[in-house]
Amino acid sequence: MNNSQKTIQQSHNYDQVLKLISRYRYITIAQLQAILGLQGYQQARKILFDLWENGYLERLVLTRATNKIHYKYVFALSRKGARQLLISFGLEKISYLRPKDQRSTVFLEHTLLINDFRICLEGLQRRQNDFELTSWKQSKQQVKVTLNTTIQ
Amino acid sequence: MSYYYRRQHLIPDALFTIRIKGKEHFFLMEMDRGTISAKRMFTRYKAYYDWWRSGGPKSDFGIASIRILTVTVNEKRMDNLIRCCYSVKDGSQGSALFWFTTTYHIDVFKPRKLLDRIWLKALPEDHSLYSLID
Repeated sequence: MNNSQKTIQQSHNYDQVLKLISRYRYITIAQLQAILGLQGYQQARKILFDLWENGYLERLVLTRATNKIHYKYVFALSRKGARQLLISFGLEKISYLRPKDQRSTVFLEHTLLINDFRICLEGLQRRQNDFELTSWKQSKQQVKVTLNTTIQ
Repeated sequence: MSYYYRRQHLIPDALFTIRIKGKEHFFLMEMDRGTISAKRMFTRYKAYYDWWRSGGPKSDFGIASIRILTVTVNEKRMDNLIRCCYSVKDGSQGSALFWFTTTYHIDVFKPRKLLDRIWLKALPEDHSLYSLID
């Protein structure tokens, strides 16, 4: 373990953060800030950049050109991050992003909006005693709606 | 003339359940970024409506009642989608099955907004705003 890795593991429970990121697949700095209830954006940024610089995360840049170019970073688990989850929690079959994998802007924006909605529900659950998110299903097999269509 | 059944599937973006004050509410959610034509969205909503009418929530998920939420990018798009839903039922009566809001209300730092009266039903005569738990 090199010095930067040592620092990373001493300062935060980064394994828990990796586990959390694996639940959402893609995450922004603001989303992590909201989930962890951090006061500052910079704190969340530091966590994600530490993990990225140490190879546990891949980073994508989401750009949008209007009058000027806006961009934000989106992070996803890397192969090393997935391996870390296997070591720390015994979690298998965790999907991860390869360095050369590309994701379209449309796909990323759509996924991040769904995550925003989920983060709101989970935030409500933390803040409000009488509110519970009892289930959240997103995978194709779990949410499939079957239609019986009559064809002539 | 012969007819046959073809089994097709719709994949919503999420299925979730909340419990508030002991009561459970079930939802399907569509996150719309305005990239799909209104005609295709109508086909989708009609399919959801027919699925609901034929007892789909019970057979697919074992639940009796459900709402189909759409979160879309802006009010103009929301109005267009609500109009699409008016025609899913004969007589353009719309359906209270479909609820709409915009991404403006989805703020990860203010999650309580989600339970505010920010939802519109796809009913031509009803312009009231509702809460998810109404």
